[in-house]
Amino acid sequence: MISVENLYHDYTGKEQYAVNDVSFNIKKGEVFGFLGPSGAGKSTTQNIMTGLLKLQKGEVLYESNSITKMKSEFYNNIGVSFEFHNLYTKLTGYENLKYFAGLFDVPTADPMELLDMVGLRADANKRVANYSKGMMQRIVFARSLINNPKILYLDEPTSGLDPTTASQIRQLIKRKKEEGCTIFLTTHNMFAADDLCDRVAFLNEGKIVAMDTPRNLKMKHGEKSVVVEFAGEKGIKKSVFFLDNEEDKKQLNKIILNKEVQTIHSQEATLEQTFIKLTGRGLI
Amino acid sequence: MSKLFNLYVQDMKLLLRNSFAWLMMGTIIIFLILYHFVITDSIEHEITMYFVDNSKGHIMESALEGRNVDNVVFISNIEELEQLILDKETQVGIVFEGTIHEPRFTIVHGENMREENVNLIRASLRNMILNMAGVSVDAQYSTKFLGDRVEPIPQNKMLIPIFLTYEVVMFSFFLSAVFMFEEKAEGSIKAYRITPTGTAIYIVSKTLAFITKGIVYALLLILLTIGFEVNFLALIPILMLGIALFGFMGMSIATFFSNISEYIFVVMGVLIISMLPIFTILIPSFSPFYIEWIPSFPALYSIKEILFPTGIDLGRQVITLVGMNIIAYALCHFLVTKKLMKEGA
Repeated sequence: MISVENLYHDYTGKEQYAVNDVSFNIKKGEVFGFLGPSGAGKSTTQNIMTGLLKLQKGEVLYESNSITKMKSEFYNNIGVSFEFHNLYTKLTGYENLKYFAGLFDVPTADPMELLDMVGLRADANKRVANYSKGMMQRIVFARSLINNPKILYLDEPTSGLDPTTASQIRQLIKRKKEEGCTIFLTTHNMFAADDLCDRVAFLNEGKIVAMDTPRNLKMKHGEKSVVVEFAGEKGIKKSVFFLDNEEDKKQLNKIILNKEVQTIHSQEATLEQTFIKLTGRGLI
Repeated sequence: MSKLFNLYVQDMKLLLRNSFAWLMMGTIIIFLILYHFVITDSIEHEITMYFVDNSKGHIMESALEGRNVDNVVFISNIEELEQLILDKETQVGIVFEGTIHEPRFTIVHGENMREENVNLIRASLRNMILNMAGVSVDAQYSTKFLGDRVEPIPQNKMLIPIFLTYEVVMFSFFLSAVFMFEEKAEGSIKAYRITPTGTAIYIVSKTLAFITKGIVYALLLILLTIGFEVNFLALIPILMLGIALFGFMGMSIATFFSNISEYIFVVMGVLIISMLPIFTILIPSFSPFYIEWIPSFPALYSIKEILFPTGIDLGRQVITLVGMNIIAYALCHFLVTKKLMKEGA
């Protein structure tokens, strides 16, 4: 459905690429995660894909049609949730959604229903200037759904949210996926990516360093291990055994046979550990 | 059309919640107070003339006493007169010598007396002597008026077209930039860019909002000063064209700046240049060739003519305003698209 081919972007004009030869495909109805630390080139890629930034080199295709050839009607089909809260602070939350809805040529969702969905119905008539950061994040997310988009671009949709609200937003994203929406999720939250994405790409310094399903990435690049809690001479002991290591395997067998095992858990590497292993850097 | 209306309603709400727009209302109230209670219809300069009549038989003194002339005081000698002038620099002293048939006047005045006023006094004295000699001054010259004779415009009313042009019309220059800077700072312009609405509706909705507010203010101002005796059908289109023109100009220039503190120097520059046509209105002999090309000129000239008609055809000014609007809109559309709607283009 969406095909990004050999994408480059240079802000400086000195061949210092913020996005450097990035290629990937997104299937219809797929949630594709674009993961990387701040400054990795995630938002630049998203801005090129949504036509906010001019395509310099490479190609972005929607159903084989280039983004450069897209007419303004293209925006009837996409929804974008920005990381920064680009709202009219002098308008209320309801007014922000109502007037934004009026800019589309397609049937739009009821602003009050959307506010209800993100838990802001009670604050609908409050000016956005008086909203907290988390409330603004939720309203920006709600706004991205106003035109019932076929493709959703979500840039850090759970950033700055408390765990309960973040979980609600993740449920809404899952619901949109079930409805057949294609979702491009840009984040450095590995937990959200692991929970939501069908496939993820790791982006580092403008380049994709790995791309696969979260499970495959963890399996391929992580080390499988088992954590065992057993009764020792001085109380409960906890040990980790790596299953690829022969010596660890022998030790694990010994404990199972000779000790009183309390708990035993298999443990894969997390996406974050995998990212660190592949790039040598953290995600913040 | 529904998109335009939707955005227009949004912009009107933003305008009503903008403190700068209320600042404009405040200045209108101040103007109304000044108009009604401070600025009079005209300024009258009362100049007392001190005469020293050194003629034989004091013929001037006798003649003027018989005519019961105000603001004339006769004193006995030149030294006293000079001392009076030194003490009161705005006063004028006249020394009369000789006879009616061979008069000699000496006008004594301070440094601040304008040459035009001195010449007026000379002419008055000449007429006075001719009248005293029994010569009819009116028979010596005649006055021919070209066009309809109109009542002079009272000075407080003369301020209305100036205020309308520089407060109501030109305020859109400032306000359009304020709007744009707020949208840049909030990032709401970025959200607008991911809608299928486009540049034209963005510009036109804002311009319509400025026009609405400007017309309301203008009507309020006119009804509370001149009243209903104004050709509103002619005035409103001119105000609309003027407000739109300065709105387009404000938006065009604001695309190059990111906040009001950077932009304020531009506002000052544009304001100074735009105020030049005021001198043409107040002093008609000041009309350099470039004055008509200053965008505020056709607006100011037309508003003055509509409020205080002298029979001048405004066709040329209207065509100039329309032409300027077309050019300003084209430039505004190009710059907003290039610098605001296509980041990195």
